[in-house]
Amino acid sequence: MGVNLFLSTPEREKLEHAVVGIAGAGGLGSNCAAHLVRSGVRKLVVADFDAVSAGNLNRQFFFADQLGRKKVDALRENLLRIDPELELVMHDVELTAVNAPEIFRTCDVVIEALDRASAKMMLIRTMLREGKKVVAASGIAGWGRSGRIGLVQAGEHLYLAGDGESAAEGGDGAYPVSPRVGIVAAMEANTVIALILGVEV
Amino acid sequence: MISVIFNGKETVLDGEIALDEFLSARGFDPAEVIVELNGAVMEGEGHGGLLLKDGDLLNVFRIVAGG
Repeated sequence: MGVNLFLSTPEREKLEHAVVGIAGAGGLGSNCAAHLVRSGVRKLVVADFDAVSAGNLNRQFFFADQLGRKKVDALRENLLRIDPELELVMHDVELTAVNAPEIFRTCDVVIEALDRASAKMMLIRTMLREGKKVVAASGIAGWGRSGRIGLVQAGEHLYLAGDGESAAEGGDGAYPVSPRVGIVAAMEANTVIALILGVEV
Repeated sequence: MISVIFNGKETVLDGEIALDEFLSARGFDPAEVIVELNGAVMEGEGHGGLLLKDGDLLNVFRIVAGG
């Protein structure tokens, strides 16, 4: 049935049948997953090799009693508390150009929510080569400047959310924090849902 | 002289120049950008001898760390 009671029947059917891939279950990925599930998406394929650490709690959809747990396990638990009837395929693995195509093979669209720039680029290019629609993020760090965050389309299949410049690489204010990361994560989820429903992104 | 639209702004160039040269002159690291030329995302990082032509629409998106 899903948890979004506002949906029309056609909308519900589209969201229930969609399979959404999420590369990374950190600041972007975990929050994106929560938005998708609350919206009525039931099937996710998520990949992340990391464990929940204290520094994550400032922005990631995990809790203090989950420290040390693998992110894919902790996220599964959290998402099932929202909707107990999800179909979650979680991969405790580091994504590469070699394994990503198989991992996301069944997905209609893939969300790029990785951390390192080289990994983000690898995932974007690999998924585009597989003919997938990709919703990626670039530029999420710091405070304020909410109005600079936007969504652009590149080519037919790629969407980029973020401000395109605020890298989370340490230094003055160049760290990722909940509000701004949350805006971009929500933007990614909102874009995916619009694509599934066939409405304006 | 040719004119291209680069990231939404009309940009005048001395003549047809290689896309790779245009990018490097503006400080873009080819490994860190997505390049969209005339509506299509270009595959890979090097673009051979591909030349920018008058009227081309070029968008360059930086992929920066953080997620």
